[in-house]
Amino acid sequence: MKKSILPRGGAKGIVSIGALVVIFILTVFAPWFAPVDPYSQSLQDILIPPLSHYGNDGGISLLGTDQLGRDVLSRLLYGGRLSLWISIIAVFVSGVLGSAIGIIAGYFGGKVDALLMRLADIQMSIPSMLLAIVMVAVLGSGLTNIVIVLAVTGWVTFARVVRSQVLSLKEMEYVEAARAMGVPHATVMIRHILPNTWFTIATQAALQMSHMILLAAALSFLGLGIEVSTPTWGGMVNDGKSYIDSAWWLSTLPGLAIAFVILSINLFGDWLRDRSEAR
Amino acid sequence: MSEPVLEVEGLRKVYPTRSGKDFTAVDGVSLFLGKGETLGIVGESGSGKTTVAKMIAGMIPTTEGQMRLNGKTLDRASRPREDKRNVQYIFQDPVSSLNPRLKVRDLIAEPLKLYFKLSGKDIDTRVDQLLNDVGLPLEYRSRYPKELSGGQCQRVGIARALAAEPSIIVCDEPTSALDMTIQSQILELLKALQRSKGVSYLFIAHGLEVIYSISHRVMVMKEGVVVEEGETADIFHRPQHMYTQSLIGAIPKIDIPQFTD
Repeated sequence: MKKSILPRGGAKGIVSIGALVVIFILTVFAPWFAPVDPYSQSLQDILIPPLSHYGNDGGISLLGTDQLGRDVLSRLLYGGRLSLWISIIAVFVSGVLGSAIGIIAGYFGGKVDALLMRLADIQMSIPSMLLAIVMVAVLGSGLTNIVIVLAVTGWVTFARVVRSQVLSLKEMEYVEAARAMGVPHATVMIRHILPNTWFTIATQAALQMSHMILLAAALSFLGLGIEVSTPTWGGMVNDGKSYIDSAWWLSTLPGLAIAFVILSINLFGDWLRDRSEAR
Repeated sequence: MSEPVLEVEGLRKVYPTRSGKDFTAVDGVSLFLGKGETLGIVGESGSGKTTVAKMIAGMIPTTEGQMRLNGKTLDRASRPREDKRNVQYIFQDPVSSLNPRLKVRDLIAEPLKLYFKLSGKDIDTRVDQLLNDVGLPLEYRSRYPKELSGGQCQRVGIARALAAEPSIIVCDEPTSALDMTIQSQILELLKALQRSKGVSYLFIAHGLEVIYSISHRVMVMKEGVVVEEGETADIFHRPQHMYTQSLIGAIPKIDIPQFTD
């Protein structure tokens, strides 16, 4: 079992895990890497392009400054921390919720299954962006609410994927054996079915992660995210869009950061899926 | 004749089909099983033998019929845990009948935890005893099923069934997925366990060659009905029904070529 943790299956795994580790370290330890305080404004230094000198002391700003003279690199690192944190919690909550619903629906079948899956169908028919906007409008913005909104939009995918796997696992002889022995339903689900869906859930979580980052960024971009001064990648793209003619780096750099993270996560998810199919 | 452990009367299983015409998989099967006895059920695929086995094990509900276990009538809809404990099942495919994510120890411990309220230490002792009973080395405790061969997996399956201390073990073609030498080892193990524990077997097989060495009595099924039943020796020496005769004729005979030097 230990061997399976190593990135086998070539460059895809090594590159994606490497990239994710770098992103993780850079953002989690943002205070160590950020050159200046992301909130400190300096009106002499507004809209300095990347790799240029500050006006006053002659130091170099690596990725430039924004319209309030805040350092873009520092905001990018702090913003990444928040964006990633939100999506990780959202994926976790929706993963737990969705997997539980998927297992229950698949295991019991019949009316329970029909009810839960119709619920999922109803939600699938509403675009997730629209649902998120409506929910933020009703609940109000703020960190907790954003996580709730993202989790609610994400559970359906988990539920469907897990359910379809449970349908085939349910027919396995070891599940039949456990049921014939009289093992209680909850134990059968937790002990015999759940551990055999881990790979599916993990793969799905990786793929959902990128979706969540994008959705969170989109909400911030629309001004429905967390309060404006807090750096988030989506919020930074939004802030920079008025200056796109004169200061390209304001929107472009956080956009690139989002793209890079999503690419890495998708690559990782892809690799996980390859591995799970190879088993 | 020893006292009956299991008496089955008029067992029927009907599956509704889309065309509206119901399919009768098992029709009016009656049987009894004595203590420490083995009843072999033989028949081709689709003869309903597995359906009978699964109904007796309580894995699928019966359409009609009565079952008495140790003199007590079994409820058709739901079976209390104590009755489930008394009828255990050994599957055809030993590998897929074991959860790949559980170690051998946990696989065998499952019925122990379920049926007997044992402490952790007692469970370990019982697991070791059972591994010993089925002839597996004790260090296999911490292995996963995929690290075991098919025959070893089947031994784990037998240990799991024995752990419940049942009156009856339903063996659903337990050797058909194994190769010849392993088959006879498993059959010998089952016979030895029967002698030491006094458990009764309901032994399902599609051919008579497996049944011959283990069964005291044989029941031949075809298309959901019992066509012939009797002592093993009688069935083999004086088969009455055409179908039984063809089954006996189908037992592969080998002619060892004569080598002259």
